Amino acid sequence: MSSRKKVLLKVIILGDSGVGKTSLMNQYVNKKFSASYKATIGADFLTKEVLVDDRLVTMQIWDTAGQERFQSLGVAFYRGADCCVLVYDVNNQKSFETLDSWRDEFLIQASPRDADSFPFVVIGNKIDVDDGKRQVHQKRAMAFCQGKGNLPYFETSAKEAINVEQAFEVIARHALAQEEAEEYTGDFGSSTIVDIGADSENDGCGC
Amino acid sequence: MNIQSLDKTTWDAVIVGTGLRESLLAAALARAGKRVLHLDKNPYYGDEYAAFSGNEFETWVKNAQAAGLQVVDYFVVDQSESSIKAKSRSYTLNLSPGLLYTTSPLLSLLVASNLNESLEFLKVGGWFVYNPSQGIDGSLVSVPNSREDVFNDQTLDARSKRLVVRALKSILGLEGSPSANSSAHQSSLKDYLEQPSFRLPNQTIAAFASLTLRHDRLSEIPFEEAERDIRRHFGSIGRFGPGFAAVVSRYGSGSELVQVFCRAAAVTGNAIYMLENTIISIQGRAPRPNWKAEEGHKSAENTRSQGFQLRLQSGDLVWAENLIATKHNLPIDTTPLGDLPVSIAEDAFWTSLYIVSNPLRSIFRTNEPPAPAGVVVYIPSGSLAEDESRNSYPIYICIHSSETGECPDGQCIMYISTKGDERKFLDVAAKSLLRKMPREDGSPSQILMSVKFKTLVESPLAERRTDGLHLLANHGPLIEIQDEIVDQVIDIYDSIVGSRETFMEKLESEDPGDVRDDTEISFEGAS
Repeated sequence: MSSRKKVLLKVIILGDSGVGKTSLMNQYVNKKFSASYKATIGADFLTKEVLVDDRLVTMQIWDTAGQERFQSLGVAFYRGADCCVLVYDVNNQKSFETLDSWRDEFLIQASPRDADSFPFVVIGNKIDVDDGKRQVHQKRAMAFCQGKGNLPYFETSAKEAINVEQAFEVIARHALAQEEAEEYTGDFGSSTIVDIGADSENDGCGC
Repeated sequence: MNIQSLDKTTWDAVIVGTGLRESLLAAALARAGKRVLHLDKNPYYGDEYAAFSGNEFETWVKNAQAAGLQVVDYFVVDQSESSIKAKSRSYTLNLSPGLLYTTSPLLSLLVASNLNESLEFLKVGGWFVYNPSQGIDGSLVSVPNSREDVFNDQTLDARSKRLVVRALKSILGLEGSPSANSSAHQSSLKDYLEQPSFRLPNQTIAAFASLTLRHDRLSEIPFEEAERDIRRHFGSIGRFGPGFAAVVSRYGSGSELVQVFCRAAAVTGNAIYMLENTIISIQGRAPRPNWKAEEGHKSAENTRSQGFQLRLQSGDLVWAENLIATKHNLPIDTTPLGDLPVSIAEDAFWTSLYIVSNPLRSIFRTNEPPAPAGVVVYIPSGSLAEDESRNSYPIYICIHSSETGECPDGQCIMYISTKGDERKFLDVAAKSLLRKMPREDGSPSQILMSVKFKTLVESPLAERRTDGLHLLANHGPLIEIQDEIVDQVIDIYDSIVGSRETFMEKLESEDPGDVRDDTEISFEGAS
């Protein structure tokens, strides 16, 4: 097994509508922020190449495309994720309280081989908003993360680009570790995926 | 679209049901800038293309039995019930095998619209004719994929080989002796293959028939349709690699495609998804209401002033200019349906799924590695016997290995289908084939679970249309995902958008963030 083969990591971002999932992703990948709220628009996923301990990996970041709004994410969205990012808005109590059910939903749908060791990263976003509006205290969030098996926790502002880079660095590291662990217990063996994007020149019909 | 409630919203299209046609249409309309509300009464995507975990599948069976809409015959070995439940997520049980020819327009569409990356396709190879009435030895015969295969075939003598190649060339139009073909276009596949000048062995006739994927008797298949099917089969070989004509998507083509298309619709920002919600009443010819205008919605000039006022199960009232659904996804008492021409012919089929306690490795083989993940077995009509009767229609068995992600290692899934009311032959077919293939330790292969259900298919697959209502024909996927689906969806798209060329065009901007901000876009970041 070549250890230098191209590594593709699937990262999915979960959390209630409006907590800033797309903004985080956009800030990280495109270094941009748009103040006006717009539900997730555009590409299926964003990709970014990053170096993790001298290894070049491609991170594929998927967000919910608005399908979380009415709890309508299909199982295919969750499948094959190497890391799951749980995002809440520090100024929105309810978005914090639903983190647990997002985590449960992920574990049910993605059914990772080892649920206890699967990497989650928790992000409290929108820390740029006035202190007076903050509803979830850092201590409380950290207690939650500790209770779930010491999940890494970051407080970010996608708007001000605070801590976003750092959070995704940890996400990439955990995703890579997960991908490598899966590689050795590999699900699928001998089959080769048919690349439907590449028409073969070979005309197999020898008639 | 910052929608928290659907109440008093207006839509270019409301689509009910997340089957393949509906989902592809949603993606195409949303990409064209149309605002789409896409509902499904079920808590899962896919409708007739759905796939389930072990536990979900049991729920589906119970609900289908309770609804009495489909006759469902469910069997599970007691001791395996708990193991299927314990490994519930190791199963992705599909309602149909979802075979796609490599030349399927759906595959080209996926590539052209940049959606192929989220799917993993595996090869379907190993095409067999199984005829137990021909004796135990050699009753499972490989269907040749090429002239080389014919020459390498140990079961044919030299003379037969020449005859088979000649017939093959004739069907493929490579050596068209016009005299032989001109009359053929009036005849059935049976008449054509049994014509005296061909002198084809029975096994070869069955082999050609197997390539049509049709459940009709040979005498009922018009030759020109069969000819198209067989040409498609051979024309598909080699497109994505040597030796195979078809693929399936890991975890099930239909259910995966549906989710890819729905997500593609959602990511445009123009489509809203809501499972477990449906229409409970419809008022046709409802004038466009003067409800709040949604942010960013540009109302086109050429829109109709009349549409449908729809009451949803969630209690919300919405208005739609276009309404698209199959009849079974609309309320039964639907006044606007009165204007439509009445239905087309309906055919009944029995389809089924079996979980088998044997990976059947010996059947997953082709001339070219790697091993296929799916194989097709054709059982000609009249070759199975039970209670002194014989199967009057041919039977297809599609077998998927655990590589498809549909079952755990050490097992496989068989999808068996036949036409008419010959349900009993499904079990006969399964057991007969499994008797031929014991497990590697010599113990018999066991059926751990089976479910059989009746599927009604309207033909042709046309849609009936009136004043913005697009009623899709009742459609049960049997073996393959039919090419006609794409054409039908493009027709509906055309009637709503007014263009066929823009169907599923690549998005101009792949930048998810900001349409207002014109600063430079960097996708790869500055790592």
